[in-house]
Parts: sequence; C-alpha cells; structure tokens
Amino acid sequence: MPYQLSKKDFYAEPLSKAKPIDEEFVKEAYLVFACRHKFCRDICPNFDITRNEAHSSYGFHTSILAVSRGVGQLDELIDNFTYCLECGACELRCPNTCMGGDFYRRSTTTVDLVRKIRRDHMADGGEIKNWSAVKEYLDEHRGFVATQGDLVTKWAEGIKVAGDLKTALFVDFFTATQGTEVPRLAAQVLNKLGVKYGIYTTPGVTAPELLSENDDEWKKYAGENVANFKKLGVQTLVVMNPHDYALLIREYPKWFDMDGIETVFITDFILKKMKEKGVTPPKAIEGKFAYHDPCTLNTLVVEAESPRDLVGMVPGAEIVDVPPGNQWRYCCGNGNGPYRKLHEDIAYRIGQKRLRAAADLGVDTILVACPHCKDQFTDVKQKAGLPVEPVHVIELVAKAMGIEWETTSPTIG
Amino acid sequence: MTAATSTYGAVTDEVVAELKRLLGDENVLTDMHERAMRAFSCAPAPLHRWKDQTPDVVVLPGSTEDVVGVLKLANERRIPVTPRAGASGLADGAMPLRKGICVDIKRMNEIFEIDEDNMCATVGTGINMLKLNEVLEPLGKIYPDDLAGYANAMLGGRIGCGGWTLIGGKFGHIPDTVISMECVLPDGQVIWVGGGGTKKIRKSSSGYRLKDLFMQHQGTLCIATKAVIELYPKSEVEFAGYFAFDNWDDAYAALYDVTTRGFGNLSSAMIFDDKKIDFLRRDDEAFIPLPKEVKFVDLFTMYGLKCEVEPAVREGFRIMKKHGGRYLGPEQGEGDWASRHDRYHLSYHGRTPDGQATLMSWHCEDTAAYHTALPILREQYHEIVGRYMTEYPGVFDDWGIFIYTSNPFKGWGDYLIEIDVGIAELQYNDETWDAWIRMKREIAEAAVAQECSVSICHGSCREGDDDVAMHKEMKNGTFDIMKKIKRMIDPNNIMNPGKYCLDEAYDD
Repeated sequence: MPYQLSKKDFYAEPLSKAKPIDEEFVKEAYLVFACRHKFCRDICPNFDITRNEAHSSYGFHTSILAVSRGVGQLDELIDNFTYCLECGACELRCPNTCMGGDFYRRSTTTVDLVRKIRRDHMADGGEIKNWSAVKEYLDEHRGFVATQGDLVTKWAEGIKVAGDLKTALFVDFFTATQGTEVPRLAAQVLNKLGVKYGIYTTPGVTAPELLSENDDEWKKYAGENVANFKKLGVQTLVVMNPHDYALLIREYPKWFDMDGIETVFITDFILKKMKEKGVTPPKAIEGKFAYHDPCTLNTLVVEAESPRDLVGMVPGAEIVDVPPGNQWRYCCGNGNGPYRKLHEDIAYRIGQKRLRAAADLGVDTILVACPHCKDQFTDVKQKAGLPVEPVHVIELVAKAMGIEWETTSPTIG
Repeated sequence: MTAATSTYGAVTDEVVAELKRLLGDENVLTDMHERAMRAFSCAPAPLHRWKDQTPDVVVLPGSTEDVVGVLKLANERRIPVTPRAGASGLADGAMPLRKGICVDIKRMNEIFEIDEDNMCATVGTGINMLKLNEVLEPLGKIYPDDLAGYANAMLGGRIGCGGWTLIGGKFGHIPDTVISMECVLPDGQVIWVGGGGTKKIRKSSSGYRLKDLFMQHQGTLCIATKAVIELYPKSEVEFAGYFAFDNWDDAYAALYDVTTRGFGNLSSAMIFDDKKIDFLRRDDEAFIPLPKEVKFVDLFTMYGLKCEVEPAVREGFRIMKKHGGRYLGPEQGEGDWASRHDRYHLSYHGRTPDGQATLMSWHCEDTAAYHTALPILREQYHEIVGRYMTEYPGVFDDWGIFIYTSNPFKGWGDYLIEIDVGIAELQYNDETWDAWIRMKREIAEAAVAQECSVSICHGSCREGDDDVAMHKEMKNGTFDIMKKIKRMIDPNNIMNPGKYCLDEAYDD
C-alpha cells in the first residue's frame, strides 16, 4: 500500500492518565501549539458560535501539551474534545498541512486526534456527557447489521436493478432508512441513463461515530467490506452518503488495500455518465438556489465540484450563493460524527447561521449533497422558521430527468 | 516583590461565584485546560514555567457591561486582570504574569454599524480582521489592517499593542485606522476617546489627544470594548513586485529610491536579506525557489486604482532596474505576497548546526529604525544571534532579516527591521530561557544605542525588552510620566500587572 500521509502509527498507542504522554505525541501537540497564529481557530464553525478558543484545534493540541508539562490531567480534557464537528476545516487551514504536510509527513490530523482522545478516554474507564445518545444510535446501526438483508434494499422496492456488482451502490444504514429519497432517485436516474449497477447489501456499521468509540470494531466492519468488495468483484463503488465517502477515501486506505476498487461519490458518477452519454436533463427547472458544501466533500477530501456541476447541467437552474471560498467556513451543524447528539443547541445555532446566510441571498431553496445536512437543515428550518427548504441535488436532477420529485419510497425501519 | 504586587487578592470560590452571577456560569471557566491554554500568547514562551503564569479563572464577557462588572469586582478585591483578544501578539501582552482573572473578549465581536456615508464602522473589539473584511467585501470596502496574524488577530489586541500593518505605507497603522474607542477603566468607568469628545471625527483640536494614551498600553490601563474604525474603498489593483539583487548596497539603495520617490499608492517596500533568502530556501513548500545567485530581494507593493497603480508600477520598475534589480516575475509576486500571513508558521523550518530539519518556533525582534541605522543594525543583529547559536547549538537559529517601510501614509524615514530567531522552545529550561532573554536584551540595547526604538509593532513589554525600553530608550522622562499616569488611572495596579516595568510606579 502507498504511504498514507495522514496515518500516524503512534496514534495506535492509547493515551492514559496512568502514564506520561510519549514524546511523539508531545511533538504532535507542539506542532500545532507552536504555530500560535491559530489559523485553525477562526475557521472553526463551533468556535464561531462559542468563541471559546479551547474548542479549536489549537485548544485541543495545547491542552495535551500542557498535560505533558504537568499542567492538568488527561481525563479533565474530555469535555473539551466533544466540541469538534470533525469537519476538517482546521486541518486544511493548518500550515503544517498545507505547507509542510507532504514535505515533512506531519499533516495536522485533528479529526483523528479528537476521535482518539474520546475512545482512549472511554477505554480508560471515563465517561462522556450525553454519550448515551451516541451509543443508542450506534446500537441501532448494529441492529441494522443483524437484519440488513431486508432493510438495505427496501428503499429500492419497485426499482429495476438490472446489473451486477461490478458497479455497486453503497447505501449505508442512515441513507437506507432516513434519506431514502437519495438512493431511490439516484437509482432511477442511473436507469434513465442506461447504467447497469447492483446494490451492495452488507455495508456493516459505517457511522464515523464508531471511530470515537471503538476503532477496532469499525475496522472489523471496514475489513469485511473490503474483503466482500473483492469477493463480489466490485470495481466501482458508488457512494450515496458523503460521510461514507470520506471514510472510504481517507480511512480505508490507511488500513486496507483498496487497489482495483474505484470509489466514486454519487454526484461525480452521475455527472460522468451524463457526459459520457451526452445526456442533458430534458426538463428545465427555472430557479436560483443556494448550495451548501458538505464538509465531508470539501474540507475532508477536497472534492467539491461535482454537485455544483451537476446543478449546472439542469436547464434553468442557477446557483447563487456566498463565494465558494467563504462556503468552506460553514458547516450545517450536524458535523461528521456525534457532535449534534452531544451539543444540540450549538449545532442548531451553526445550522441557523448557514440557513440565514442562504435566506439573505433571497433564495427559498438550499441544495445539499449530504443526507445529514438535509436532515439537519430540515430540523433547523422548522425550529427557526426560516423560509429556506433543503433539497438534495439528486432530487433536483431527478426532477429534471422527468422522475417524480415526490418519491413513493416505502416506509422503512 | 514590590509593595504593589505583595497584596493581591485571591480568586476565591466566592469571587468565582460572583463572576458567574455577573456573566453566567457558561462564561466563567475554571477548568485547568481552559486556564492553561490562556497562559501564553504567540511568542516562544517558558513552557517549563507554564503553571507560573496560568490564570486562576477565565471570563468571557459578552458586552461592555460585563467588562464593567468584572473590573469593578477585580478592583474592589485587588485581583490582577489580564485582557486577552486574539492572543496573536508577540510581546506577551496577553500573558498573565500575576495570574488572577483572564478577560477573554472574543465574544465581543459584534458589528454594530457600517456607516458607508462617513466611511467608518463601529465594532466590538473581539472581532477579527479577516471576518470583518468578509462582511465588508460585498460593499466594496475594506478595513486595511493587514498583519501577519490577519486570520486570527482581533481588534482589541491590535489596540492594546498599537499595531502595525504590512500595507501601512498607504493606509496607516492601527493608531491611524482606529478613529475612536470605548474603554472600560479599572474602576468600571466607561469612557470614549477619539477626536475631542466625538466618535467619528478623525481630527479635532478639542482638549488632549487621549486616544493615543489608551492605545498601545498592553492592557495596563483599560480594556477597549468597542471601536470606530476607518473603511477604505477596496483597491482595484494590488500589485506586488519582487526584485533580485546581488548585494546589500544595491538592494538598500533601491529601497531608498523607491520609498522617497513620492508615490501616493506605495503600500509597502521591503528588503529580504541574504540570510532570510537562505532560510526561505529551506522549504520549497513555503517559498517559491529562487536561483542561487539571488542574494537579496526587494519588494514593493502598490494598492489603489488601476489608473494610478499602472504608471506607478512602471516607475517602480525603472527604479529597481537602475540599481541592478531583476524582476522575479508575477508568479513570485502573487504567490509569495498571497502567503504572507502564514508561510512562517511551520515548525520544521528549524535547522540544527549540521543542517538537519528540527522543530523550532520563532520570534521576531521588531526594532523601529530610521533609514541610516539599517545597515549597522543588520550587521549587529546577525552577530548577536550568531554568537548565541554558537554558544547554544541547536537551541537558536538565525532565520534572517526583513526590513519594511513603516511610516504611515508614506514610504520614507521609518522602517521596521526584524530579525527572526528560530528557537527550540521544547528544550527551554532556566538556562536557555535566560540565554534567550540576554539575547533579546542585547538586540534591544543595540537598537537604543542607535537612537532607535525597541519595538515598532509588538510592544516592548516583554522580558528582555521592557527594562531596556523603559529605562534606557525612555529615560528622558517619558517613563516617569507613564508611571504617574498608570498610578492615577489604576491605583491598585490590577491591570495586567508586571508589564512595562510599571510595578515601579507603586514603589513608594
């Protein structure tokens, strides 16, 4: 396997209050502390609300460095480490990443750090406030694994799935049960485009939350997936949920050989197929739309163009939004892990800020490319009474392809 | 310990309870990690003495009234107070030398008014310049405080240190771009200082010019809570031209000519000296590689209307060429200027004596010098740092010298001469920390010997600087007046005590 820039083997060694922090980790903490210009701070959507710099990459790393110097205890830090959306904005902005990462192999990996601190804390017998909600969610996923044969394909009832698994749709628990319109409409779009595909039926527990609780269990599911991809002859994995996509792109190659398997996000895949086949959606949808970048696409894997390009293919549709550069300072508030379950109020305020920015543009629709963003914005819209409706890009494209906007997706779960 | 520092009140449970009553539980932080991370600001610090300067409690006020409540309580109980904004300062202004209460003003980041008619805005001092400019940009306006810490510094800290900006040659520096401000005094009194008794008047002849008194005090007099700031039209053109030189004399002469030509849109001009170029060559991710024959680089930037800048740039090229300067091309100009805020914050820039990459933080000494003092200071600063590098191999590293124009609204006369020193901060112990302080003191003394000022932008309140600045540079009576003012405004010495040698104000 090629060297993974962001893989830090010393993260495997648990930190514990019972032993000193080892030198590699001190260096790791120091690298961010030493910058001190805190480019990671003001770009953080959580800091934007709390204004507490302890809740930033700088704060996380500095508090660990302080503990290494005998100032404070490791287990006292845990509350701090719940204030991370795992959106990756700070990693991308850090000079260690953008100027020295590939040169010195010391990219800043705040998301991995936060997950590590949480699971080490729990492994050391510690508790995390409000974690029961996260555990409940993960248990639901585990339950899903036990019964996934039915649930994982129920969303596709009534849709003709004619291909084999060379091209496999990867639909996780959340999307298969709560964001069903996305795979359902995507599958119908692919049928219209004449693309053959199958549905991968054993995704296991894919939630990034699991990485904060038990990475061995997460790796077990991921390893099984990779083995299955190979056994089933998967060549192209088309991923519906960008949370899964980010994990497949960032995490899987750290641990498993993914050679021969191309992982593609659904909007990239549809866009590519439309271009290959020279298809333009026939139905015009006149309107101006805001578009919200999911952090799992932009800041975490730096692939943000295809949803916009896909909207650009729809006759009459126009994206009117804050400049793309400014987009990257937003998050919907859900985060890429347990954040919304741990800090419901701050998550709401982050989402409210983003929806208000869209409302200020005079649009009534914000397009999203992530089912979690849609779920969060739906909730925020309702609570805040903001006149902006979240709609998935796939819904827009499907409508332009002449597929019913209001799907008749079956009740699931 | 002087009489002034011997009787500080403790941050008791009762004080914490009172703070919580004033600000709400969530805005009073007592956990060790919250306090520990507010022990330092931006410069290499004595990590081995971390606990000695960790505040006892951190408060996050959200309004002027909150600050009034905190200061009244602190004054009544005689508890030290250290204001903290972006904590990007390099003079330890936000370092709580006497512990006590850290007043972290980041929640006070509101934009109260954008007054396009009068080209000013009223903002909370917890606002960051990048964030502010994101709001101003669609209006075609800009607040031109362009510093290395642009992405994270906050206005309150900029006022506290009387900040300097990279493009001050056209737009002025913080004392020029802050029109007026609201300040909370140690006894809780709220005043507004600006042109006379106004908020938006830039120039007034009414009364004393108190705005200057409440700027650059490093939190030793008050906490600024709101400010009215200048707005500028966003420039149509931002040009940055880099020119290679073979030797110091030509680079220095070209700098003089370009700064004294009389350009109205010269935003900055500077020299990267040979050691700085060598340093930047260390890491090709952070600087566009230059051919080995390039020894020195001059840069000038021009901001403004296209119709002004284009002919001025042509004239600037003529001047550079006359002195042997070779234009390094648009890629260098756009790339390096674009990365001016973040290229130095990479700890692996450090090198051991045998050339191996090593973890180092850095500090820059920021002398305010006049033009004819630049050559000798450059030589002396390299000599001083070189000596310490020899004595403490692997602990210190010479990262070269920058020279920037610094006179507001004009290029000539004053310059910032900055020597950047790499420091193996993780290795600090009492001995190497003392060595660092001695080095700083030598640099400060060299500046004062040339009748220059110890600091142009950071402030001279840091250990190693403060005694030289207060007792040598300001020995003409200025420091005596400072002490009287300090004692009058802050009779209990609660405001950022230990800074600027101002404990001496209470010696009797």
